[in-house]
Amino acid sequence: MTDNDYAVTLENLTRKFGDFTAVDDVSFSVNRGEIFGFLGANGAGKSTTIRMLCGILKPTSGRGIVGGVDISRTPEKVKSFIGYMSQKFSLYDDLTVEENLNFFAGIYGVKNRKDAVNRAIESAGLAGREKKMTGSLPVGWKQQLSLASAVMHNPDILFLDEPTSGVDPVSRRKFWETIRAKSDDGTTVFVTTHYMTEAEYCDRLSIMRAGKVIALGSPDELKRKNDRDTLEDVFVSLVQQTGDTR
Amino acid sequence: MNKQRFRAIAKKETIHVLRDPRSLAMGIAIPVLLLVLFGYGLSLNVEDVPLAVWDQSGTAASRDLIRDFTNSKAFQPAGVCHSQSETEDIIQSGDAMAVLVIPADYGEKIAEHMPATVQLLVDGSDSNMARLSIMYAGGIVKNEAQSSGVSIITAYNPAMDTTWSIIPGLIAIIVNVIAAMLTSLCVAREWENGTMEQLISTPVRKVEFILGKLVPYYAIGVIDVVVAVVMALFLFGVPLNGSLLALAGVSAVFLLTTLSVGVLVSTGARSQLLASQLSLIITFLPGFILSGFVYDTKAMPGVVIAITKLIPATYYVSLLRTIFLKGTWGAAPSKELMFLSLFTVVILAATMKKLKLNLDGR
Repeated sequence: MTDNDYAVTLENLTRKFGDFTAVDDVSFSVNRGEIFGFLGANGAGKSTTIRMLCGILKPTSGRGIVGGVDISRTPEKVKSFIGYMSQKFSLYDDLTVEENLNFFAGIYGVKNRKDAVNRAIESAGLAGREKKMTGSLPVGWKQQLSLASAVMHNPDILFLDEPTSGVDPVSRRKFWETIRAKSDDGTTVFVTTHYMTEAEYCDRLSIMRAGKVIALGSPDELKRKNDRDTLEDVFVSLVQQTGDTR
Repeated sequence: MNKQRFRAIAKKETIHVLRDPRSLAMGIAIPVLLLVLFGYGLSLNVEDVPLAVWDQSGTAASRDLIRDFTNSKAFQPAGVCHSQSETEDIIQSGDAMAVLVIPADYGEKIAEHMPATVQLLVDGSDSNMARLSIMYAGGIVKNEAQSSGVSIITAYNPAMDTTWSIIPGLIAIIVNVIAAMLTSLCVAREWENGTMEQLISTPVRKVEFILGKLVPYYAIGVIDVVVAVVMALFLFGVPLNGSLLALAGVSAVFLLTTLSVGVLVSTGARSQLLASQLSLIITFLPGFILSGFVYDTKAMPGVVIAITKLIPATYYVSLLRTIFLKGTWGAAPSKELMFLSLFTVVILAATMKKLKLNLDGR
């Protein structure tokens, strides 16, 4: 099997910040087209892992292969076919909805920019709000806009770092519909979340604790293996089993 | 470099500037304010300098010269001296701030159409006053020389032969500080607002990022230069003896230099506050003190002279003065332009090296 059969492959991926090991010798693979959930307590190393895979943080050791490209060797190559939504909202508050989308369309070199931007506005449900200043949007709309910016260029792989934190249930459901649709179109989605209802939507899950992956499998497999009825119970039992949550 | 990405950055940065009234105010209103404040402040306080006279010649020619001095707005009569020691005493007592010493052979030399020399002793404890007195005296002596057909050499500041040498230098200093301040915020702001994390996940390259960001600030810089030059010509009445093209060309190069300094500072400092403070210090202090704007650099110790040669403002101050007042390009303008270009390249290269489009080192 070559690297190309997986959308994402981690081999002993490690990241240290001084003495602190944020991601500790992590290895797993993500299949093409699946929605891969990444669970873990705060500070478990999820964001650090995602940042390394997006080519914006260098691994201390180990390898990460994204779309067949080594993230340590050519991070700039990875960036052209991935989309990334960081944990913190990071679009420009002083630009309008349309201007933000236009900007990312330009940065990603999208062809037929006008059409692409209009389509993005439509699919994010932001029609009629194009001229609104981004900073004035409610959190739910902001997240939709973030997602729309991140998928402007139809990336093969989408990394979403807690995309729905602080978003109301209705917006959250709408957000997941969009993600589902992207996945149906063949996009691989790599998503971290704290919400167990969202974890249920994922094809496969990995649970991270203190920089290590402590469980991996489909939601049903995880429930069966741990003899629990809900993912929440699985999560809590696994995290407690292996000690403090750091 | 990808043109589309460069344009995207430039456009976005332009919108930021247009939407932020503070940066617009800083970019355009403050330079105008500074020019008015310093332009009037630094030039109006040299009226009626008390001037004593030691006329060793005692001829019609020497009396003509004295009359020209005392009739000018710059000087008012403050006594007569009869010896070297008296000239020193009158300055020490503060009764006069300058003494005009006319040598005994002055009248004869004028009569024979020979070059004659007069001496101006100036109280150097107020160096600005002293400098401007010398400038004024130079102007008067030169007028006198023209009317009598005699060449007179002014011993001090040969280049500063008009009362308005301050304005071209002032333009240089203001452009230097404001341009660097403008760009000093532009990278630090992305880090501070968290927008950098999204931006670095895109394929944008360093060169597109840096050059794209320079675009709107360059435009503001051009507006600043144009406004300042218009004010110099029409408000302060400074003559533009050189070519407008030379002025534009030199300014175009210098703007890039000082904007680049701001970007480098912004890349190094991750907070906007630190970046703006830092850029103010590194552009304003050397620009003001060491560029030759206030203090003549030729009088400085060798080491300091060497340092002044490393400050871009030094070259812009001198080029602007040359173009405005002398109407020439100066002795070696290409050397000065070459230095500015080289300096800019070095600064931009350092910025490229310092800029990290990832989160390492954060």
